[in-house]
Amino acid sequence: MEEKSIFAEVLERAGKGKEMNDIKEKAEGKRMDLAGRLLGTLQEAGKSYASRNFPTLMKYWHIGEKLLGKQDEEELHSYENEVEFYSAVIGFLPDFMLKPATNFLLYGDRDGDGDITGGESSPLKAVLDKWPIPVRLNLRQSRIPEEERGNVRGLFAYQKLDAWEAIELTKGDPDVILDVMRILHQDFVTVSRLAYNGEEPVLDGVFETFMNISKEAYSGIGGRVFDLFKK
Amino acid sequence: MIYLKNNYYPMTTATQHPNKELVTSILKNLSLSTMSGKEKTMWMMMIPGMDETELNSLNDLLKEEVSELTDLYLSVQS
Repeated sequence: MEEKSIFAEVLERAGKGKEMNDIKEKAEGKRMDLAGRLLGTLQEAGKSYASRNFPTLMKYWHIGEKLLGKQDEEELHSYENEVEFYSAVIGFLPDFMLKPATNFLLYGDRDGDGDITGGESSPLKAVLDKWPIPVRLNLRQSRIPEEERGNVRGLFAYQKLDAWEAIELTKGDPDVILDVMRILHQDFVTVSRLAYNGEEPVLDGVFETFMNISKEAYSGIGGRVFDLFKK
Repeated sequence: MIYLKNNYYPMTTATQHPNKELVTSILKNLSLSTMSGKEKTMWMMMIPGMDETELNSLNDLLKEEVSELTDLYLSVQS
């Protein structure tokens, strides 16, 4: 059950609910600026906060390139921990802060206006270009942009799309971005465990092989990587 | 015994956080704020990693909200 402020009960009963909500909304807006700054979403200054508090997260978005060069085990683990921590923080974000927090991951949206057409410079896109993954969208029609609605039928649209296409189609829907993050994270965990538990010769080229396989098909990835170890 | 206490139980000696007073003030105002429980938890997680300037900004925002709410509350009671 949602915990109420001690002011809420009295002020609502006294018919001051509207004034209280005005104060609440005004305060929310100001706090959102601060949180945005802290999470590196709305202003450039936030980037220094992000690199101070999430140093490996900043590197994570270049992991596509990084993985091709060899990383030591410890560093890969710190990537995982960082992303898990970031996901946990996002889990605690109130809904009204979700969008700017995930736009931070897109980076194309520096001014926070929701326009991600600048996605060319997005580090997330850089990773997805090198490591394409499919996501299954489960969207209500109302959440699909009007010009796209003709392409899908029914109340819900089930589509299997390339991750970046899905992000663009939903105009950077936080749910989709978090799903993409979860899948990416799962891949990295799988690869790092498999690679570093293997024998030395297996380690050579395993990342490149994984990249190639993941380009063909993501779904059978676990089985195929295991097959590598059987040979 | 003193030797044991100092060497084997170092965690029992609490260190004073440089911004303890400020954080106490934030926590008091946080409990009075109208924000959701989820957001309160978020701030609780972020506060230990924030520096003094950021803590001051948060404290000012919360104080402002609580002050306005108090004004409204007092206007009802009077």
